[in-house]
Amino acid sequence: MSSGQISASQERVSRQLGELPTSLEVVCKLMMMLRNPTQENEQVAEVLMTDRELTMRLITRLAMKDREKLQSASKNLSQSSDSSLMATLFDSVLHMGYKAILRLVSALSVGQILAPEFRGYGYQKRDLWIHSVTTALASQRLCEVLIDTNRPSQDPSLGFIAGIMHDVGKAGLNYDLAKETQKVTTELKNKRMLWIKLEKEICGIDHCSLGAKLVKQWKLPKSIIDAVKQHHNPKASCQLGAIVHLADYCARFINPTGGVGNFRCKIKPEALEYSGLTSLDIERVIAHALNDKETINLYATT
Amino acid sequence: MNKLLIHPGEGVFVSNPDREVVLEKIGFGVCLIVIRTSDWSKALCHILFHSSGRISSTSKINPMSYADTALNALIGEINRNKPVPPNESEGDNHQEFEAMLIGGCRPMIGTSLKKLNESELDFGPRIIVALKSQLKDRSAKLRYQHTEGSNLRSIRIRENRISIYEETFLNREPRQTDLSMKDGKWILTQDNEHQILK
Repeated sequence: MSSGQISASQERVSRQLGELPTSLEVVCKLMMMLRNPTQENEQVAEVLMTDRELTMRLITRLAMKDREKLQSASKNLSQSSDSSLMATLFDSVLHMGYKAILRLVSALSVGQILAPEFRGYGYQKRDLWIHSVTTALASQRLCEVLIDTNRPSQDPSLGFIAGIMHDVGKAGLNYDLAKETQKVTTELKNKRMLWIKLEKEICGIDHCSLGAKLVKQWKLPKSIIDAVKQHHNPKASCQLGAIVHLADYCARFINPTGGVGNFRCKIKPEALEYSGLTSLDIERVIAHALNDKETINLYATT
Repeated sequence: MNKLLIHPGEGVFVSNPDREVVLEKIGFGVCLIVIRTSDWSKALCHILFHSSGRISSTSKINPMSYADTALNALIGEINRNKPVPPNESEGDNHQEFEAMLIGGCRPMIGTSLKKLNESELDFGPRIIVALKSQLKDRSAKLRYQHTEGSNLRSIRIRENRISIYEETFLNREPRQTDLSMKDGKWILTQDNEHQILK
């Protein structure tokens, strides 16, 4: 694949993003804030206000869930003044709680890119979204495990965002892979090729590199760009990349998704050393997630 | 036909002939099917971990999640749901059981740092090793094994038939393997070819 085609893949995902109601930059800021339980509601509402489109969508969605309280607010939303919108938002944040708002914001942004069916990978509708959410929650939990045991860690919010974004490059490569279904099957089945090598062969770029280009374009923090780029090839210099690598592995246990050869992933033992985690931590996070499948289901159905 | 869906970490006694037991999405985890040979009563579970001792005792995960406790838990389920009449039984240890293992996908382990124990993250095969050890201790025969590889599997069990589906092609029907019980023998059917399991 030529560099022109790689740009086309990038362009395709960017165009999808352009059709989204919001900018990922605002979403990222919100994700960081909403993970902090001591965050002031007013500040959350203020950041939401910087993206009116997102605000309107959010309130419409909230109104669907709590008609009595919010229907009147959403009815005349387009004519609402900033101050009345702000008041509605403040009420919504107070009423719904941060976790519910975070789920909605995630679903209204990243979820719209990752929820479709990706035939190039054999993913059914919502498969990649559920995998990304599961990786995000596992990554966040692994960061918390490190903090709880006084080991060097990363901000769990960054862990969540890196996890939810780690496979976003697949949305760009799916189109070209779907055109080569026969070749994909043959290479995976007969030559036992890794997905990541197959992506390079067919698309000229793998989903990690394309994903990193995309999150850079969306102005996400450098640690997230590096983690997305290195989540299949962790390096000592990027702890978050190693954490996402292991979270990706956890997610395949917690919520296995379909498709051929989706378990043909290369697990790098050095990720344990680079992240400071142990295989026991991994097992505990899997066990914890299995006890809390409700959270994942809430994201999946939002 | 009714369906009963078994999730990872769960197990069940296969009792109702009008109900199909379904295990979907078996990846790195392993499905253990235990069969009492005297009456072909079956129980099965979806195991995720090789050792129960590693995870905190406060964990709410049930014994059917672990390779070292699942076999006894399933035998207990069979005996609880379908007790052997006292005159036919000289105790649990004299009953004969056989087992089938399905799943246990194997990730490729990178080898760049040899000082690390490479099998430490190889969870699926570790479960299989632990299960085989349990079967050996219990003198239970491993009747069939459909394990490793890198494709997602699912299982459907009816009264005397076990169907295993493996996703081997993109966006196409999965490859089917059937195990059916006939005259006290298990018949394996794969790609229209039949063979009796020894």
